[in-house]
Amino acid sequence: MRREDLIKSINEGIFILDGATGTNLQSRGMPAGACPEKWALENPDALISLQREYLSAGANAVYTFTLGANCFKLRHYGLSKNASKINEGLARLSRQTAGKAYVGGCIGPLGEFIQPNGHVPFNEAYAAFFEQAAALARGGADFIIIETISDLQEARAAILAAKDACKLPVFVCLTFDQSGRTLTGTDAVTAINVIQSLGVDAAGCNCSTGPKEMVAIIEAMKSCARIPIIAKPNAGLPKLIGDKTVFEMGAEEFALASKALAEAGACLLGGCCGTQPAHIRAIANQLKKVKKERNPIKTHDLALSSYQSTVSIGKNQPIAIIGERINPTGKPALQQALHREQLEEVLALAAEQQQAGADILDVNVGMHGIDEPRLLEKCALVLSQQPLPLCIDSANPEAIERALRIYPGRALINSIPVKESVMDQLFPAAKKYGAAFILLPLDENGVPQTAAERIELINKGLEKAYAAGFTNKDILVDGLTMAVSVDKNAVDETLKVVSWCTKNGLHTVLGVSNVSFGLPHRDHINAAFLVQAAARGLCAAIVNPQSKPVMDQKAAAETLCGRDEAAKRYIARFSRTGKAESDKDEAKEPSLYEAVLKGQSKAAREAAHKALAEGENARDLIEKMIIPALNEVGRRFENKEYFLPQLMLSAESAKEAFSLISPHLKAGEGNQRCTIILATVKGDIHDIGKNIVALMLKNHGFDVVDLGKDVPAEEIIQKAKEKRAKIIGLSALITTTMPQMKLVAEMIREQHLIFRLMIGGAVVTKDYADEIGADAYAKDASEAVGKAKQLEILP
Amino acid sequence: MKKVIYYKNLQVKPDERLIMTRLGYRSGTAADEGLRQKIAGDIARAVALCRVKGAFLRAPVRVEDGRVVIMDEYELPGRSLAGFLAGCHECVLMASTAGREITRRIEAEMAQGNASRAVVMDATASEMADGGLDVIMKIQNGLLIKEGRRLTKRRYSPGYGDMPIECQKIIFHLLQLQDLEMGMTEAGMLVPEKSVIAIAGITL
Repeated sequence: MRREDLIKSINEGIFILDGATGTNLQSRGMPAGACPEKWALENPDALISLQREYLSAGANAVYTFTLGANCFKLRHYGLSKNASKINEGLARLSRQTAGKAYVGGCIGPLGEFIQPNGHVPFNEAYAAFFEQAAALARGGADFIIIETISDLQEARAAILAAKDACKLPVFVCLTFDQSGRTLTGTDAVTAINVIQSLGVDAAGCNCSTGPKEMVAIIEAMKSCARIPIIAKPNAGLPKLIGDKTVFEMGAEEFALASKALAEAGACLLGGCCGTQPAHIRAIANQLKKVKKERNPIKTHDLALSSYQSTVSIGKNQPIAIIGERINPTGKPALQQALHREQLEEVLALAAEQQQAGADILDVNVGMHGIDEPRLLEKCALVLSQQPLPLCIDSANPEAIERALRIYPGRALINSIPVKESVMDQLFPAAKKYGAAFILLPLDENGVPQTAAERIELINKGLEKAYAAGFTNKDILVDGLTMAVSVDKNAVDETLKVVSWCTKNGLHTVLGVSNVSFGLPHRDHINAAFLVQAAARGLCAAIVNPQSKPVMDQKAAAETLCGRDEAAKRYIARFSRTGKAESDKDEAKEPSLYEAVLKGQSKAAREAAHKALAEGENARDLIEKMIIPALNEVGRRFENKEYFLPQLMLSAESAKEAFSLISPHLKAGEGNQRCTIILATVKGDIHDIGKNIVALMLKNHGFDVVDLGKDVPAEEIIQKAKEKRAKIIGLSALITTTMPQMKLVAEMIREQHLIFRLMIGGAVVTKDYADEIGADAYAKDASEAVGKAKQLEILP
Repeated sequence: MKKVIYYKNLQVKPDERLIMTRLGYRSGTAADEGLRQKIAGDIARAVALCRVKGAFLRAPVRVEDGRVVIMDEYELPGRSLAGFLAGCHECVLMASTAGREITRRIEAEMAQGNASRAVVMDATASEMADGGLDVIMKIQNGLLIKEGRRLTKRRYSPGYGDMPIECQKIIFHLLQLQDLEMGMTEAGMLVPEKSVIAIAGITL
């Protein structure tokens, strides 16, 4: 009953919360350095008096003084085992003080980041919050308020724990910095989307900033909120006066600014750092006059979120591309990586798809011989680092549930068929973890052939989903794409389902690539199918975003369907000057010289092939085309007209041409230049600079023996003797390894060897080269080539 | 010893301009749209492979006679560092690493002859590690503001100025960086390669 009354009060008008407690208790005698919660329990009069003042000022609720009463923070005072007792005691105290007013059982941050941002395991954080929420409920709190949280994953752990620990309403407030993001990078829209999906009763923002700066955050939250919004700002931005931090905003100014928060959509208002009962009295008086806005819900789109950002899916939005490539089927390299649980390949596939235009990433790790629940959970955690929301794709409900629990966003489940047993298992998981899902219109009898049969199953699935508390904003209906090569009517039936769904306000998705199964040049079929589906209102497509025809036709279809205002995205896609220029360059068929100069490997190879076929002399091609081009690249690099990637692209294209030309060189025409030993000195493990030098020297015809990194001086000398080298080139990155260069120089002198020594590296200088008696110093790879040519001709 | 705070996944958004600068890009460098897109793609790949972790420790500091003493016990030599921390009674020691996976991939790309991609990834990883320290400083500034204090705008790393690279060993020990799966060579180099250590002061 109390729960219903509270929700009714919030929905009826502006609900006033209390102000700061800790700072006010300090001014009432709480000593610095003491455990605040323990002190409050031992000195209850100060807290009782303050909370009475807040209630008398007009607050509808006071918060328990338990923000830091979790076992992690109490550990600093040796009180972690007393967490339950302290929370329950302080909740009872506020309960007795509040009378008929409401008491919010307050839960704050642990003070340490949890995984994936910190080292605290998710379930340890969950356990700490669970203990606190259960104790607050026992002590008589009317609702749980989780606040001052700066990490979305921590908020998720606290929400899940609070909802499991008690039946009280749960409110949540995050803190945002002045850039509008939490410390771990979540924006306000993403925060509210994830939090409200977890079934909390109100959410918003506290602490962070003053009321004026908080307006933009509240507006952003309101744009997609389905629940009441809380605003509990500081009394302005902090200022340092003397050695004390002061929040200077007075009560009346605070109340006026809070009015703007109410107008932006907040309906639970109070104060945080620096506020006093006078501030709460002022906002209570000010906001009595404000009628609560009944803002209509602004969007009917389905929103998915990653840790940091949100993607909206709807018939008027661009078609959301769900990248399908993180799937081991037919990918041996990915299969091997997944077996070894090396997820580097998964991250690379994610980055490639994002770059190609994916909005969401499908993640499927299902294959023989793996522990799918554990691996999918691990993938979900690793992929939470990248910005796209995830579509958790598995036929294993346990795997889906584990991935959803750990994923710090709002994911999409792929998929839930209209099978009682699966719906019974996955609907509660989706609800608990705030996931959306793909409803698959197939049952125990398999895939229905006709649209009418599929629609019947969709209705059956929806009925059960609505009964479980889902709305259309949680569901994407799959029209079921079948191979057109098997059934010529398959496409028509699928499109009828899409049309019906669109007409009935349902969001739709298709596994587009299935349509072309068994056919050659599948991209064209996929692209044409996507265009047809787009015309019927398709919202999302599971495809390969790296397919150019598909993504080009998607852009065209969105323009034709009015889903690309003023064709802005279409124009941006097809008017990239660079692409046009590169097309032009390709059309011109550059010479070998031009191809190397521009770093076009494919063109260099083709030009070399063509020249050889036309009877050009192999040695001439190297000496008159490749080397002059490399010299020109070197000149441009020296003049800073080119930078490092261009130097490397030219080197790569020269290498490509060499590989084709070399077999055509006559005996004795090969490497005409001397042998160079290259090494990064002992103790030094950085060798990319040395590798660049090796590549450049090889392209200029030197016979390079690369000994790698962390190479002892004795080994360098030994190899130089063995290979009859003329030059030794050494690299070092830090001062502590530079003496190894001196050691090599001394060994050359002491053993009366005739090697020429060239050195370089981040901390190496010309002066140092002179000091140790090296023959040359090169500041970069380009200069190293020139210096090597000079050293080569020395006696 | 005070407790070290570890961050297992720092959200770093690298500044593309700084990566280009690391690669030698200057105004006047010729880079057409096609090249820029290729570089952007390589940066995105590298970012995806970086797992930026960090560590942080707030510690009392004393500056005297051109040297810095942390926790009344650990001495960091160098007059420039002493000048940098003059007036501070507390400092923060911090470290950030881009992780092992990115280093492995850079080596693999170079070995496969994709030198241009390797150098872009290398520069991106350096920027990500540095960016990790930026995020740690941002987080700490967010907390310090409530005390009316802030971090010095700049930070100082061993190997710069007259602060010897050997100081990395002291800070490595204080931050217990082995708990972040980091290591150090005998010469004082951090492993993984794309890792960085720094010190900043806490000031009013």
